[in-house]
Order: sequence, then C-alpha cells, then structure tokens
Amino acid sequence: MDDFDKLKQVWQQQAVPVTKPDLDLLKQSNADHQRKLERPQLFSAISLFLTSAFILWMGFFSSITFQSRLTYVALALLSLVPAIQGVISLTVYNRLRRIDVTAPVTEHLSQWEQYYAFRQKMVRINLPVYYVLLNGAFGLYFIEMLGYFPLIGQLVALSLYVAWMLFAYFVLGKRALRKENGRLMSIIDNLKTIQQQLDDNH
Amino acid sequence: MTVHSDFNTLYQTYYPKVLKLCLGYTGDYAQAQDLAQETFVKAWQNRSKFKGESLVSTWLYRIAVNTCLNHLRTARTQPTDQLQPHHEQQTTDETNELDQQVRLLYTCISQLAETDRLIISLVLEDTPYPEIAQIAGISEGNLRLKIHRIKQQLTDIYHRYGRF
Repeated sequence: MDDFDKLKQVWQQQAVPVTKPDLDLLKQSNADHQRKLERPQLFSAISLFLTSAFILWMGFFSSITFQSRLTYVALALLSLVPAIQGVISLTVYNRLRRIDVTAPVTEHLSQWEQYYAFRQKMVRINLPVYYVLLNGAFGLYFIEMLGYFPLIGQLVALSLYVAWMLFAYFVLGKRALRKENGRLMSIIDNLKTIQQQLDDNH
Repeated sequence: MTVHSDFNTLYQTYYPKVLKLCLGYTGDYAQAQDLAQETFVKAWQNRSKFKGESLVSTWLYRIAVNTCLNHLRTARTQPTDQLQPHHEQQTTDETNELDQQVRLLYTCISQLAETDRLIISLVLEDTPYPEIAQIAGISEGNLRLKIHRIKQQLTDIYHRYGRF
C-alpha cells in the first residue's frame, strides 16, 4: 500500500457526524448568495419603473399643469431616465439568473468573471451617465419652477442644489465608486487565481 | 435515481459525501455543514436543469464545488492559514489514533491550493477521474497530471509531520 492509499484509508474511515436535515425548510430556503445578489436588482428595477410611472402620471395625466413646454420635456426625461435605468437593473438581474451553479467549475467561474466585468463597466460608464442625464433633466425642470421664486430665492435654491449635486458626485459618488471598483477588482483577481489553479499544472 | 422524484433519497445518499467534500475544503465542521446545506438548497432550486446528461453525483458535486469556491469569494475567507486552529479547536476532545490522523490529514489538505483541496477530496472519496474531470470542466489528461502533483504534494506535507 503506497503512502497516498494510507491517507485514503484514513479519509474513508473517518466518521462524519450527519445531523438530520429539515428537508421542508431546505426546499423553501431562498437564502443563497446568488439570490441575495439578484433580489436588490429586481427591487431596484421595480422601484425605478414605479418612479418613472409616477413622474409620467404627474406630468401628463394629473391635474397639475405647467406653463413651459421645456418643463414637459424635463418631466419626460425625468420619467425616461429611471425607466432606462430600470431596464439596466433588469438586465443585471437576468445576467445573474443565467449564472449556472450546475455548470462545470471552469464554466461557472467564467460566468462570474463576465458578470463582474459587466458590473465594472456599469460602475465606470452607466452610473456617471445616469447621474448627468438625471441632473440635466432636473436642471430643465428647475427653469420654470425657479421662476415662481424671487431672485434671492432662486439663487439660494440653485446654489444649494448645485452644491449638493457637486458634493454628491465628486465626493460621495467618487468615493463610493472607488470602493466598489476596488471590491470588483479584488473579486475578479480572486476568480482569475482560482481559474489559474485549474489551468496550471505546476 | 432522479433529482425530481426522490430528493429525499438523494439527500440521504449524498449528504455525507458532500459534507466531507466541503469539510476537505474548509476544514471547519460548522462552515462545511453550511456549505453542504447550501449545495442541497441549490440542487433543489435547480432541479429542472438536471437533464440526465451526467450522473446525479457529478451534477451534485459540481454544485458543491461551485458553492465552495463561491464561498471563498463572498465570505472573503482565506482558509489556508486559518484552518488548522479551527479544526484543532473543534477536535481537541477527540483523542484516539484515527481521529488524530484525520485531523492531521485535514491540516495537510488545508495547505493545498483551493481547487486542489476540492480535487483531492474527490479523489480520496474514490470518485472516478472522468467524473472529476466533468465536475471541474477540464480535460482528463490535465486532471491526471494535476492529481499526480497534488498526491505528491499531500504526501510530502504528511511526511513533514513525521507520519507514515
């Protein structure tokens, strides 16, 4: 018997205590990692679609009327931008749903790698574009709204809004993006290391 | 046995094997139990994807291995350095020779790379090589080379502890 066979014997002789499972609970369980990632995307998509529908109703189907056509353009944009973002959230949700835990390991790892690369692209491109478009639409909306305020009120409201947006984008947003990007990079590196372990023979 | 008709039997038959695979990966009984449970939750959720193109065991081991590797990524555990104390702590009361050997074997396995731990656990469980190749999604030739290297590595580590 060679050395490895002795190890195999030890392994096979070990008694692993097995607790009796609650199969009903197991079948109902919804708490795995992938589902935890999927759910926020679905909720985000639903919230964005509801927001979009509400703005659409407020601008075009409620009793509220606006003086300027530009305001209607702004409301259409304010409704469209979250709707597009909602579609993107649904896309992410579908991508997660397509990740197949029953696939061979190399394929499964590659699916996760593609998903995280897609998330990374979103962090770099989609979120800044979403932010700029949404604020552009708010800017158009404010043109009429601020007209109802005295000049000093307009200046104060505009200054507060612009200051908050700049702070949110350049300080909070950049920090959050940097953190998220770092997290994604580390996950992708980790996946690559595992893949390399499978490919490598040395 | 099919996944659809007899999940209970599937569980009874494979839970100990899946648990040992997870234990080989984590070296920690509580974590291994969680991973084994998660494996069966996923098996239940994905039962419609089993088309009978592979053995049920291959399909189930794939889920188990993927679940273990995902665990490493999400829990951010870097087990190699942490396994030994965990496992020793949980087995301090066990004193007989076999228990000591099993404990040492887990300590040795914990020093292997993540995927190597999973592969060697399957080999130790006497899983046929073609099945392991199907689980991992690599060629059988590549797998044989890999297994040869891992066996060598594992027995070397075991020797370092003055055993055999």
